[in-house]
Amino acid sequence: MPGLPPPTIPTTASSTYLCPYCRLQGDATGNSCPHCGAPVDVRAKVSDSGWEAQPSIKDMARIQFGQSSCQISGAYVPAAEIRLGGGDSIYFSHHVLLWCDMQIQIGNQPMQGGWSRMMAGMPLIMLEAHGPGMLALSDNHPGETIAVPLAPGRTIDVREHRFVMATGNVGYQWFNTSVFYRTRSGDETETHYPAGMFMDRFGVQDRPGLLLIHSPGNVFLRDLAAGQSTVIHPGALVWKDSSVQMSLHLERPAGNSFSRYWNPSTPWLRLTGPGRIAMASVFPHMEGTGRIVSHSAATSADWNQLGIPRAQQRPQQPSQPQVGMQAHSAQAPAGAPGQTSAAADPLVTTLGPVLGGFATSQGFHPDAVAPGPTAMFHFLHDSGIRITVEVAPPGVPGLSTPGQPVTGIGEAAYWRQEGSAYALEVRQHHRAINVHVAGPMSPEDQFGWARAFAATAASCM
Amino acid sequence: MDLIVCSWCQSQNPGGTTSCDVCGAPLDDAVKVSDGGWREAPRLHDMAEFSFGTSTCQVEGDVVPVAELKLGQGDSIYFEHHVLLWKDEAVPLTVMNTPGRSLGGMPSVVTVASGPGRVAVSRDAAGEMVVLPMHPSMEIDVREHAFLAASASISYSFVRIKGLANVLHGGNGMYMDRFVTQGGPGLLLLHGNGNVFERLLAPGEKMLLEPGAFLFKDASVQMNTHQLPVKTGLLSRGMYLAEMTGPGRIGIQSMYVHHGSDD
Repeated sequence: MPGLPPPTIPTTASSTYLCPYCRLQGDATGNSCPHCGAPVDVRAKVSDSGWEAQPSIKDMARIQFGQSSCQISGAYVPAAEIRLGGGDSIYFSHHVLLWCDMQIQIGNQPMQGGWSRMMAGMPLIMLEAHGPGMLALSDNHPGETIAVPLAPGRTIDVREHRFVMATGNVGYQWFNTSVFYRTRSGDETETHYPAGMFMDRFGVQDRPGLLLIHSPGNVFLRDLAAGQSTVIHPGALVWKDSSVQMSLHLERPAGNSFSRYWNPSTPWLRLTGPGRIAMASVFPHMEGTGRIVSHSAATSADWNQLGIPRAQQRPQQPSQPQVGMQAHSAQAPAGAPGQTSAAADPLVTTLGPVLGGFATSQGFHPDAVAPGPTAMFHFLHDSGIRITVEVAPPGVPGLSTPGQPVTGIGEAAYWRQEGSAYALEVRQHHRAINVHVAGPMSPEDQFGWARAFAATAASCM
Repeated sequence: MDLIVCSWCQSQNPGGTTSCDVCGAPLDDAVKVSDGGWREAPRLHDMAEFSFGTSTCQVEGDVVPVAELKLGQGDSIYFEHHVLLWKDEAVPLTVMNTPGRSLGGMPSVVTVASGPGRVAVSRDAAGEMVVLPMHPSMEIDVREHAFLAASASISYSFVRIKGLANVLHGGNGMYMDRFVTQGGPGLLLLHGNGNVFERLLAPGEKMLLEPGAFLFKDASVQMNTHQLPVKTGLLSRGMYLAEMTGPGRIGIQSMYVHHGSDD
């Protein structure tokens, strides 16, 4: 399993900064990443299930591209103010233009497939602006403007109507999502495209590019390993790496005999890695689906047939994490998966269920090992990836010699090689944890997994 | 005692105060100006309070702010009737005589609330409240439906936007609200959708705006229509922007309804 998309390993000391959101290196002395504008002085916020909140770009943060810069201002409906250098250009949909000066040159960008776009309700008109000069763009929905720097060779797919602007060297295409279902009412058949009929695809070949996207509400990111899948509301998808596959998933809730007949299926969007996905917290409501008569290729779950285990049919008291037990295997108690040794330590008590939940969501299982002197959580993936999270006892500020510094996780984090394996140590609030990663994958993927587990653990420290 | 000058309304406040007593702007926040010269309207702290006449206004909430006004004896404010959120039972309401408003598609009922007592007003959209204290002899033009409330010392009228092209393509409707002070100061509250930015144009300086983004301007600023020579539809050409010419202030909102063309 190749694991997470390859992040860049920091190679120099504290003067550089590895942005956890765009995974590009930048100057650590600024307040925000120069490539994507993400703030550098915030802790990663990762939910128990592995979704990482994309931090809002700080008011007045600047993003550099080519000879030009982009400044994001505002909080509710941010505006992107762009100072274009001579020779630089951008393109954008005409309805996001907020203001421009009298020097900038604005014209139409040639577009093909106008009829298909019009039929799909997508913007027909794309404008391009050439510097030098200034202009500002803004969407008209409360939400976040996110910047996605595109490295050469990278392509991403963006949900329709989310695109704000791209630099002139970014290639633009659109494709049919082929995710649909049809409902019938009387003699009338209606085709629904829950993820939109088309998606925009952006990519660059030789030079880096910049893409601005506006998402209503807040944005959450997740990295899917190869073959790993997740199911989200179709309207919530903002963008995804082109390597992520998309398909329909239909769920039919269980019910009595009457509702079994009338209860329609609920359409979801299944996303399968490898790659990164981003979803928004504000999304359009889906109309009542009615009875689905046909659909695109889909997975399905009918809970009438699958049946719901009796224990899950009514709410239960959550089981208490059993910290301190000599748990060795998959029979480990709920809340402390893979834990082999632990003292009565509040941090260990908290880490157990959080790490367990995150690991399970990523396809890992608790792994059986011998008890050790420090609290450890062991996780094993079917592909052979082994991850160990070691918790230093209270009062022990660190577990090993610091390696290369990594910013963005905890108060301090260090990254080092241990033979063929890697380890990431995070220190925060006078506690330390060490994430060891070993297995058949590249160093970049090892770093990505270590960072994901370390960020999850740091949220508890 | 050191005085702190409010960077938004230029009023002087005693040292140690954290928000301006005249407009409520935070005095302890840095002024944020973009590279393009646009200044963010001050984001009022929750529960910020300021005064006018013998009355006070407190701003609550930050996503859809509410202005809660405590009217003193003899003070009154006016507003479009549908922005009234709540009021004390004893506060009397009267209707301002505004002939012709309904013809322009504007609410025909402008309501006056008189003190003493409390009233609260808000518009039902995410955005920012813009507090514009008006000095004597000022004239401010405001986009229709953006006006939240004004003190009774400010006279109210509405002006027809000049030029057929401006009316048809400007995206600002047919009328603008005009607020004028004569001998005394007054307080004007606006609601901007999204975020609000302000810029001062020098005499003769020009700026092109998305017409839907226009929020307010000094009456000295000229507003005309500017056509961009671009294709805006399968069969249509020309995208219209509002051309603003100084001198004077202009205010814009970042969330707007695009009026330009069909997609």
